[in-house]
Amino acid sequence: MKLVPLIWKNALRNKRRTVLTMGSLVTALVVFVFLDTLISSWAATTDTPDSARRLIVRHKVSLANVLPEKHAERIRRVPGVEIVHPYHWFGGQIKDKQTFFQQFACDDDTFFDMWTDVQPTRDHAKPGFEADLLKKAWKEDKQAAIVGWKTAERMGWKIGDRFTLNSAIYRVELEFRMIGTYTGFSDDDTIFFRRSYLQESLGSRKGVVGTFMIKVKDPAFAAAVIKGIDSEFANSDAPTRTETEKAFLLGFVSMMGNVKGFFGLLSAAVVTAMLFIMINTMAMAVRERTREIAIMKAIGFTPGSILFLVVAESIGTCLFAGVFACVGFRVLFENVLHRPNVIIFPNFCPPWTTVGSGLAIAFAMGMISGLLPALRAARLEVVSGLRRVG
Amino acid sequence: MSFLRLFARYNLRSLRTRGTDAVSTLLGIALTAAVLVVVLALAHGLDKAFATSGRTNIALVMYKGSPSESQSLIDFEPERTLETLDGIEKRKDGTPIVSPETVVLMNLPRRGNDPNDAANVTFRGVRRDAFDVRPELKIVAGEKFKEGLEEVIVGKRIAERFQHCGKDETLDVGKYHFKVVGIYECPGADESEIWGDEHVIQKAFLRPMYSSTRVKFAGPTDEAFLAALKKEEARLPFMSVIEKKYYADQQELASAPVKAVAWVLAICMAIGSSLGAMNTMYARVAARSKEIGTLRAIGFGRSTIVIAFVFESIALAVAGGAIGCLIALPIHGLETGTSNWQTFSEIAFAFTITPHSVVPALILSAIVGWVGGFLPALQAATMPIPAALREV
Repeated sequence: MKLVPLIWKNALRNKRRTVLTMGSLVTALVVFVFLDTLISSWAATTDTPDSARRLIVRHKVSLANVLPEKHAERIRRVPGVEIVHPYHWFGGQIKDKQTFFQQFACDDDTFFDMWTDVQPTRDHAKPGFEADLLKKAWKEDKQAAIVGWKTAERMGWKIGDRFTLNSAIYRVELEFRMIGTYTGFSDDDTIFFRRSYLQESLGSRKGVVGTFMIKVKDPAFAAAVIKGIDSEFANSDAPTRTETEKAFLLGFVSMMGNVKGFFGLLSAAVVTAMLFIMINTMAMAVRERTREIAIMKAIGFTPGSILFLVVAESIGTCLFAGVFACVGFRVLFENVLHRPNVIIFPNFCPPWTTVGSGLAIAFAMGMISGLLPALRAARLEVVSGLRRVG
Repeated sequence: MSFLRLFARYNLRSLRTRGTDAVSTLLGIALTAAVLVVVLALAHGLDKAFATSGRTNIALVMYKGSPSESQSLIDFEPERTLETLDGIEKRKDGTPIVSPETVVLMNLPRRGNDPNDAANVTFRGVRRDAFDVRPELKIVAGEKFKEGLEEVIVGKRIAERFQHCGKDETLDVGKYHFKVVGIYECPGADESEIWGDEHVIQKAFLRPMYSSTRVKFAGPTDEAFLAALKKEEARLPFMSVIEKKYYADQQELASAPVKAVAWVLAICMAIGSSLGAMNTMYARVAARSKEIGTLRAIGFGRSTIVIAFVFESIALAVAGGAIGCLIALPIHGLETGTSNWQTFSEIAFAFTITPHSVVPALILSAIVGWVGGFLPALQAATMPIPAALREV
């Protein structure tokens, strides 16, 4: 421990070099954290206790195909099924302009029991605020819409405001009234409204369902229920494909192809580039102090302590940069930018696991880049070291 | 011009000094350049897949406000309206070329070991007009599907990458079993599809309507035709777009985020590399103080020295950049696919390295060299001569 001041002095000896080294380390670690966050956002599915009880039933041939409403009765009779919730992806636009938020038309009666992650509130800063008023409005107003706060903010809507959405899929134009918002769901831009309103406007085309969401009594029943539902409709005109909610969401991820592998490769390239720079810097630093190290050995420092000094300096520099980069990045996204939406990712923010990985890499970097120069320094012959000039 | 002489005679030859420093900086810059080249190659591959798609003499008609063909439904008879328009290309026998098509998506598993790896593939129900509208489409194996039968032809890229899509394999759609009777090639996005007879496809996918209609006309110069089309648009609930523009818009959405990520990555890595290069250059200058002192003593001016040393740094960096481009080269032509977020369907493309990927990488390397070398070069030029000469 008494060596710590020495390590500190050594690190600050060539301030410019230390600053530059840390600078390049910080930028490289920032890149790593960014890529790693992208990778984990990609595969992110929040596992709440209820999500394990939810299944998605869609037409076997294509998610774009509709299922008949009558399927609900037969699904309800499959043992283990607690709630059957028909809903639709609305695919709406505002005034011919593409929207980037999703809208769902959900079964009026079972909405709150099914979408338990969506916690109704009339003020997104206060979870559960006036939730009863919101539920009452949902029941009473057929044009009721629950709007995610980010969308409401972007469009300038307040509770009570009306807006119109145009669906190219269902070819209807519907007017809605915002009755509140929500917290807790995976993104903050979705709009939920009542399915009965959509059905009413479809006229003779009603009686179809986009997808069924099912809640099972116990997650252990999921596999059996999946089999039960799919075999029930296997030979009908509208065969189904049922999967857990998690598998359904991951299906969209897999559509993107091997992006995870690609970004992983990029991260590896970044870390390797960093490694070269760090190794070089440590080697330079040690080489310059050859005479000094020889003197230290002459006055009695053991090779072991020399080794420790060099490696500790290397690790210390790297960890310092690591904390600044990784924890700093997280603080920036969490507390300053408040989890903004980045490209297609809502609530972009590096998770603690990513921060941890970054710190671990910084540590490993320090170890690896310090080791070789440290070994050279420790094994240095005192006489030749003293003879070295510069 | 004296700095050129100095650079050529002195700095270039000194590149070999402090070899390990130089090599590690070089490799760091090489990786920076390689990353930029690879991600830009991805973006350019996507661009190419879209850019070769769409023609300027095809008008694509969809339901008003539809973001894409697969999300458009036309439930009126589009041919009746459109074939009366003046300017539509006709066949030799006088019949107009109007191609209503039904576009549906189906989730298919990709070839490979992961059973969960799947994507939406576009199925297109067509009639013979569809082939007239796309004369570049060539059947390269097998034959065209026969009307009324459960047969399909598959685009080459899809056949290679998805299960059940190869020649003579069978695709199951509900109660229908489509035999793959042919493989086709067509430049652009059209090759990432599976085509079958319109009536059979409509029945199999329970979609008894068209998604879109294509008509062929003389081209963007035919203003009369475009005006007549706009008039019909006001009357009926459809919208028309020149096919090339339809794909160009999708291309924007697909490749823009990739390019953004490419540049964010590259700039961050470049900053890191510049700082690393600066470190190295400072060390190089310090090691050669005696030489620099000598140069200045014999009369080389300060600006000459600054420029010559900056050039040395740039030369090192560009060499690193070139090595990085070479490292990235093997990725050219690597075929892969991803989902087009506009249409929710698979688009196959290949990593494409073009001068547009390599030149920015080299320029970036040069900038890294310039930034990294400038301050050290200034120091070299301003160090007091006696002190420099005294350095060992």
